[in-house]
Formats: sequence, C-alpha cells, structure tokens
Amino acid sequence: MSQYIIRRLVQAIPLLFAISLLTFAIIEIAPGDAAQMYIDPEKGTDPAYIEQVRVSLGLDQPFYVRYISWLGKTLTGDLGYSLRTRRPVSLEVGDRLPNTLILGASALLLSFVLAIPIGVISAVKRNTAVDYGLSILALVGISIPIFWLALLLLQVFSIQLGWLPASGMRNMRQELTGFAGVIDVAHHMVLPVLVLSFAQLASWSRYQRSALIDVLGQDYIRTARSKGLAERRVLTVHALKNSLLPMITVAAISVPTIVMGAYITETIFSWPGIGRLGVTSVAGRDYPVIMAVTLLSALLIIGSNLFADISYAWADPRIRYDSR
Amino acid sequence: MTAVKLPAVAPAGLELKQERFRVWRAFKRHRLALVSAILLIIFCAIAIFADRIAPFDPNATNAALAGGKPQPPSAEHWLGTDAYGRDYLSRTLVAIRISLVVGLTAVVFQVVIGVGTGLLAGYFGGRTDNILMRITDTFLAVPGFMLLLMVAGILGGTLPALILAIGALTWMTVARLVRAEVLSLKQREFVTAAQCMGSSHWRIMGVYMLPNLVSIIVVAATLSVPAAILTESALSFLGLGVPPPNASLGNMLSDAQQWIRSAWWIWVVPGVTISLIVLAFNFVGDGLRDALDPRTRS
Amino acid sequence: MRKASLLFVLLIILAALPGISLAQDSQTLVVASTGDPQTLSGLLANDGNSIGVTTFIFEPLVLGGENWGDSIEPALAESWSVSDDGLEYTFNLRQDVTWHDGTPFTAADVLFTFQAVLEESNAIDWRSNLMQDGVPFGFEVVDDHTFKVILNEPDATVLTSVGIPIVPAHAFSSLNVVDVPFNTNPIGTGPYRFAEWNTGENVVLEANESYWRGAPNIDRLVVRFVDGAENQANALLAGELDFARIDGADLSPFENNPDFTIVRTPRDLMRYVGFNVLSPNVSDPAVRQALMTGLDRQAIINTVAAGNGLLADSLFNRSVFVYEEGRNPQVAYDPAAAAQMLADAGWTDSDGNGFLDKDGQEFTMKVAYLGSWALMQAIAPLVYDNFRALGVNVELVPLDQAAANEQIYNNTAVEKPYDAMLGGWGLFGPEPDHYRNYLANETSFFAYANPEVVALFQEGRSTTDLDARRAIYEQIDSLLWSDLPFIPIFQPIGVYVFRSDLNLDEAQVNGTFLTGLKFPALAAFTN
Repeated sequence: MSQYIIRRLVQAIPLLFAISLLTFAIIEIAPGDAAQMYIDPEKGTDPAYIEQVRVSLGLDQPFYVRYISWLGKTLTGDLGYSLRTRRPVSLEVGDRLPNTLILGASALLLSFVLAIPIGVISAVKRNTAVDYGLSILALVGISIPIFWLALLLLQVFSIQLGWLPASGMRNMRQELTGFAGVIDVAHHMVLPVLVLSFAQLASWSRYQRSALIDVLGQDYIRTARSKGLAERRVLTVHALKNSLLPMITVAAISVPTIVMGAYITETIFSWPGIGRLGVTSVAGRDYPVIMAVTLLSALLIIGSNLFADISYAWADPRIRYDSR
Repeated sequence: MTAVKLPAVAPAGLELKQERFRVWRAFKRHRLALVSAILLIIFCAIAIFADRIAPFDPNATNAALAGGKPQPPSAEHWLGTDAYGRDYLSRTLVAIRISLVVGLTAVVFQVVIGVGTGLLAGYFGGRTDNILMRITDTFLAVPGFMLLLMVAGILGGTLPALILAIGALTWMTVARLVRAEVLSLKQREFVTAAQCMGSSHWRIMGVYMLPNLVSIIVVAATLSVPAAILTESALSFLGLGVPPPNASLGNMLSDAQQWIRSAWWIWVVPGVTISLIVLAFNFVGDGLRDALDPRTRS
Repeated sequence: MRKASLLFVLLIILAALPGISLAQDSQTLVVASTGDPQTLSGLLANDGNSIGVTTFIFEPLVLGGENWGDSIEPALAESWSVSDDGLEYTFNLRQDVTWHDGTPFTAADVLFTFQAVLEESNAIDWRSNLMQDGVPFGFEVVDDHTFKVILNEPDATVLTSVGIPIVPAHAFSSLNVVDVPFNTNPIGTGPYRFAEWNTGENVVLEANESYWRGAPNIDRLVVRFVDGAENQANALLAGELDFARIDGADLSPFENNPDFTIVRTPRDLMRYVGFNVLSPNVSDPAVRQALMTGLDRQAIINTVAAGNGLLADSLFNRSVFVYEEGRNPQVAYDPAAAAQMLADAGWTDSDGNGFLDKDGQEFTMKVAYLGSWALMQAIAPLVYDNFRALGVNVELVPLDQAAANEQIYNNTAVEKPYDAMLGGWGLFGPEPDHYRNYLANETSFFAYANPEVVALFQEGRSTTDLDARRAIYEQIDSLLWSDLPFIPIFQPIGVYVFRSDLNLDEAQVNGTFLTGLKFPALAAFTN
C-alpha cells in the first residue's frame, strides 16, 4: 500500500507539470493580457502608457520565455508577483486561502453529516411517503440556483429578522479577539456555509440513496439476511460501509467544486476568499496568480483522489492495488 | 422491504420485448416520474414551438409602458413585463428553449466522453487506466469555473461556445463514477463467467457492463442537466452567459436580483421554471433508474 | 456519527444566535468599495478601487485635475503665479503641512514626485501630463516652500496637469516607485493615514490629527469591499455599511425610511454609444445623427438608472468649463425622423428582409462592450432594440475584461473588430484638453481625428487667454455635436445612501470623488 501511495505521489509530478502548461497555454490563447488591467474603462487610458506597462511587466517576452522563467522560479518556491497588484503572489493567495478553506471545510462537513442520514433513510424507506418527502426536499434543494437561495436567505435572516450578518467575515466597527473573535467569524459564516452546503447536500443524499439501494440488491446482503442477521445489523455493518464507497468518490471530487466554486457565495456575502481572487485574476490575465490558484487546487484534488482510492481499498477488500 | 430481490444478473438473456414492457410498467408505477415525464414533454414542446406561441417579440422593448420598472401581470401581458417593457411570458418561453438546449446538449457531450473514458479505464485497467485517469485528473484538477471563464473568454460569449465549454469541462465526474463502478463490476461473478466463456472485451463491456452502468449514468446525467443550466446562470451572473438580448432562464434570474423586494414575478417566474425543469429531470431519472436496474426490481 | 452531527448543529445554532451584541463604536465610519485596491500608492492608482482609497491619503498641489473634482482650488499649493510670458508657474507651497510620519512637507517632495512620474521605467499614467510634444517640463526648487514649473511654450493646462498626488521623497531610496514596500504601506499628507489592509476585506484608515484643514471628526474610516450595488444595499440595510453609492440597486427600502438619507449628486461621468467612425456603415455623420435620433436616451436613463441621469447635450461632460446647457440643440427621440434621415443617407430596405441596405450591403452593426460591467449589460438591450427597429442588424458582443480592453480600449490598430461600442468615462474635471487623447486621435477607440478638431485642440492648449480659449472649445463642442464620434447618452446622478444619524452635509457628498466624501475631515457623527 505504501508503495502504491509513493507511486501515486510520483505520478503527481508530471500531472502538475501538465496542468501548469495547459493553464499557461490557455491564458496565452485568451485575448488580452495583464497590462490591460491598468486601464479603468470609466477613465480611458493613453495606449502608449499601456505599452510601457507591458514592457515593465515583462509581457513583451515570448510565451516560452515567460513560461520557463515562471517554472524556474516556482521550482525554487518563488511564486512571483501579481501583475495586477505587484504584491507577492504568496501574499495574495496566502491571505485568502484560509478563509476559503474554513468556509469550504465547514460546508463539506455539514453536507456530509446531513446527506448520509437523509440518503440512508430514503433508501431504507424506499418508495414510502418518507422517501418521497425527503426526495422532494433534496430535489428542490438541487433545483434552486445558488445565488437565488443566497439572496432569499439574506433577505429573510439578515434584512428582515436581523439575526445574521449580510456580508464579510468579521465585524468591522470593532476589533474582536480571542473567543469573541471566533464567535464573530462563526456568526458571519452561518449563511454562506448553509448556502454552500445546500447544493451538495441535495445531490449527495441522492447519491447515498442510490448507492445504498445498489448495495442492498447485492448477493452478499442476501447471504447476510439469509444467515438470519438482524436487519439493522445488515444495514449498518454490511450495507452502509459498502455504500459509502461511491460517496467517498463523490465527496473527494466535490472538494475543488466546493472550494473553488464558492465564487458566487463569496461575492454575495463579500467573503474574502480565493474564489473571487480567481475570477478577478482570470479576467485580468494575471497569470502568476492564476497559476498559483490552479496549482493549489490541483494539489488539493490530487490529495483528495488519493485519499478516495485508499479509502476504497480500505472499505472494499475486493479491490486491491497491486504494486507491480 | 420484504420483497424478494432477484439475483444480480445481466439482462442479456431476457427477451427484449418483455424487458421493455417490464421497464415501462415499473416506470409507470412511479407516479412522480410519470407526471414529470409529461411535464418534460410539455417543456420540450414549448422549446420547439417557442417562437410560434410567444405572443410578443421577446426582445422588443416598450419603454413607454415600463417606465424603467417591471410591470405586473395584466390581461395583455400575462406574466407582466420586465423593466424594459419586454413581455415576460414571451421571454420565458424562449428562455426555456435556450436553457434546455444548453443543458441537454452539454450533458450529451459530457456523458459520451465521460462514459467512454470511465468504461475503458475501469475495464482495461493498467496502462490504459493510468493514461485515461491522468487525463481525467488533469481536467479535474484545474478549477472548473476558472477554466470555464478562460475558455469563455477565448471563445467569446456565443451559445455554441458556451455549450462546448460546459460539456467539455464537466465529463470528469461521470468518468470517475463509471470507472469506480466498473472496477467493482469486474469482480462480479457474471463478468468473470463471461470472461471465462471467451466473450470479447467489447461484448463484455457493451452487453454485460453497460446495462449495469445505466443507473449510475442516469443518476449522474439527470443531475448534470440542471448543473449545466445552473452553470449557464452562474456565467450570466458574471455577464458571460447567453449574450443579450436573448433570454435564458439564467440571465433572467440574474437580472432579477435587483427586483427581489419589489417585483415578485420577475424572480418567481424564471426561478419556478428552472426548478420545475430540474425537478422533472430528477424524477424522471429516478423513475428510470428504478425501472431499468435489474437488481432493484421487485 | 450522530454525536458528531449533534455537535456541529450545536455549533451552528450557537453561532446563529441573534444579537451577540457588539458595542457600537460611534467613531468608526464604514464606507463601501467594490474590491481590493491594486495599489495604495497615489502615483500608481489608476482604477476606481485604488483611487477610492488613495484620495483619502494623498493630495495634489492643486485640485481640479483628473480625479480631483471639478474646480481648480488650492491644495498643497496655497497660491501660484504665472510669469508674463506664460512660461513659468511658481507654486507657493503650504508651510503647515507634515507627512503622516511627522516629516515636514517641502518642495523636494514635489520635485521627487514629478521626477518619478517622468521616469519611463515606472510606467506611470500621469507621465504625459508633464510633457509638451514629448519634451518634459522643467522644474526648479526655489526654496523649501517654493516650486517652479518651466515650460517651453505657453500651455493653458498646467494647473490641471500638475494635479498629481504628491509622495514623500524620504520614503523612497531611488526613483523606482513601482516595486517598493511603500505601495502597501503609504505615507501621504491627506486627512487620513493608512492603518491596515486586510486582503479581500477592507482598508482601515485613521484620522490624521495634524491635517492642515483640521483634524477629521471621524477617528477610523473603514473602506469595506462589497461587490455590486445590490450587495452594498443589503449591507447598508443590515447595518454593516454607513455610506455607499448604490446607483444600480432597488432604492425602495431606503425611500421614506427615516433611518437613511439619500443624496443625489451629478457625477463627472458620461455613458455613451461610441462609433468606430472608420467602419463603412457608420462613417457618415448623417447616419450617426440618425442613430442618435432613433435612440430613446431618456428611456435608457429611466431603465438602467431609475431616472437618475442628465440627458446629454454635449460630448463634453458638464464639469468642463465651457459647458453650457442648451447651447447645442438637444436631439429628441423620434424614430420616424430617424428612419427618414437614414433613407436620405441612402439606407433603404430594398430587398424587404427587414434590414436596411445600401449598394447591396446590409446595415450590420457589431456592438462590443465589457460584459462584466452590469451597467453596459443593462444598456445593451435598449440599444439593440432601438437600432433594430430602425432596420439595423445589430449584434451584441459582450467581452470579458482583458478582451474588452484589448479589442476596444487599448486597440490602437486602425482595423477595429466592432462598428460601435458601449462605454463610459469621466473624472476629467474642468479642463477640456483631457478629451484630446480620445477625440482628436485616430488610434483611439472611436478612430476619430477630424483635422479641424485636431487643430482646434492644439490651438486651445497653447492659448492662455481665457476668453479666447472659451471660443475655441465652444467651436470644438459644436463640431463634435454634429460629427458625433459617439452618442452621449447621459451623465449619471450618483445616488448616495447613508445613515441619517451621520451628520453629513449634502454639499460634502461630491460626485466627482469616487469615495463620495469630498473632505471627510468635515464629516461628523452626532451620536
């Protein structure tokens, strides 16, 4: 197993390389470049000035020169400077990453904790009123566009009831530290986390339901039943464990969706996360930042995938990873 | 729960006609699925005939009527107008067409690529698996929404570009799910048996595995249609969705943000329409799943 | 698992408890901005988010230049004189000004700033301000508080050209002002000094107690990042913002609401439909006039700005000193007359397909714009439908930011990929010469360079007699109004909403300053 893990980690190196080249090439093909960000369309700017900016940002160099120079620096741990703000990329990303991770992790946890019981109940009580009720609820969840839900919740809980903050992650009138600061952040997190987990919750409970129904139809469950095991034991020991298998995949591949797909939630709730940075940097062709965000996300997903595959082997002994 | 489960066998041996009849009977029993199927047929009919049944030109503004504010439903404009004085019913009808076209074509695209990749990778394993999954990983590991924005930037805001971008960047989930299922199926008796009997790889994949993958594909696909429709709406939120003046449910909903407090029809109409379409897809997918899957049939 | 979920739900409930009361600090004012500044250096700031912060920190010698309001007023220079030949400007600097770090402000700082601007490798947008036909101005430090600008030929625009934020010489080790820590930790002379920048969240500013106009009444100014007018409106309603400009949002919750005050102030900005005047279909000024006649500009104001706009009757903004309402004949919306004008110009629907044609060419029009700019996205459908009704085959092309800049704003190629574009600009202040780059320059996005207009702009710049200048620019104004390189639609009226208990004088809410607060030093809290 450890050999397998090492092999996978080694394989990740060319993968990261491929991703960096792919992303860099796509930015290169896209119209416009980072020098364009020095223009305020409300103001208008002298084209000669932009040419100067382009030279000062090194954008007059050909594609391969910039890629190789970027690659060389990155390999030594230097992520370079944002072309837009001229601040170190490590700072731009580092300041925001924890905010997004805390939001994403909470949403992931909440969805998982709620989706599995809902899916299990639906599967066990298949085709009953309970199943239909939960199905409809889950499906309504999937079918509501995320910004629509966010705006509605915001209207009700922030504006009408005044219970929850509408924006940001901290109170800005006062510096809060210690426990009060933690509570303050948690308070600001409630709405965005709810919104983020809602969509996952809906689809995950569907997957859990499907998975469990699949497992319940398998031979070994029949065998277990015919051995006279209690239904509850069949369910928890045999069926549930195996039905979690596809859930691990689903969850693992949802990680980047949650973390990077938080853009809309982050915008509506003015959350200082990396999703907004990603979108701004794409619009501005700020390639050092785009590359950093992309590679971070790549590391995240490679990690999640590896985790999923290892869990597979753990959960389903029939699957073996040969370390040829 | 006391129903006796049939053993898991591939339905290859069943007579085709009988199988179809059985599926239809099972599907019919799922009331919500049946209603949803009818609903979807209606939506598709609307999509096909949208420009003929729309009472007004959906892009024709009427500033004198609207005066800068959405106008409530009236005898002339059944669903009112938007702030431009455009007939909201006509826009909704045309939007259903555009959103369905975006959703369905993008998903067909993603399922074809996804199932192909997942099946080949899972079945052949080894080097094939390695190469295909590394490609999948590469796509998966690039944050989809950022890639989508970049591709949308390259291709420009046109409808085919949008469909291409959404489809080409979302097939990986299907591929992973299919592969995982195939890995598991490979260990099952009937597949091993088929292999021992000397069936060709293509026959095993097509006849023994594919039918067993249907449920997982159907579930994934039904969940993907709304995902594609909602992705379009997210791009609309950034001004990069279906380009104006054309209506899509996404850009109507995005425009509705402003009127959430003062003009209910502006956000309720596209919101409910999107939800209905998505719900219908889900229930139909559900019904099909229960009906098609030989193992869950009671 | 059950335990875990219970714990989590508990945490959520705990956090969701209403009224975790936080004492209100009455000396903090939270104002809105849409996002992180690109820089905190006044010299480099060239986007709304950056300027919105730097105008609190930095000051120029004289107000009234680009971004600095619409009238020429003393700032760091308390007075100035011009030599008889018009070639020497002597600025008398204020003697009571200190930098935020306590160092006195002197003429050496002005010299350093201007030299840094002229340093080519810094690539600073203001550079062309300090040059005449490619030759830089001369500078002379007479004494600590006297600074001279020396010209090669008379130039009427000097007072607005030197409207550059002054930075402290002692904070830099060389003329390189680009890759320096100063840009995230600025020192200025303005009413507020920089305290902290929380990426993605806010910039916190603190009152400059020794500000020369007097210490601000608000101790702490938080510039908070909330993207989008609708989200800013929500944050105002939730009490998380005190002051914001929310032009695009639904104002109904603020109207007749005693908790909020709404102030409407015209802004020095213009929204327009620009033409690529070299594109054959719109190269005829008569066609452009017809299109203006057929565009319901008032309907655009009503629809995209809830009526908060001034219908334009000049290609110059109202802040320009020669502007006079009603001097140009206003063009009223008249689709029938527009159709006639197009017919007179030779455009008819000869093949009956619903679109106009001339010499076998259909009247197609590609209208490009920045798709992520909500205002442009809102204007587009009306332009589409109005022009479509005239028989023009319009195609709207929304572009993302870098693409829009490359294809429109920074496209110096003569061949442009559009026939028309939607845009907006402004903050040019009282000096009409700032329009020269765009209205007398064939490489600008209108590709417009009428030789008569070019010559007049050249003459206007070197004429120092005010009445003579006025006559020149009035002539330019009339020429532009008939030539119409762009259809000016409207000047927006900024809708500023703030808490009623903020004792803000309406006069302090200034539409030309991006932050909206003209001199925050004068703004006060009553409670």
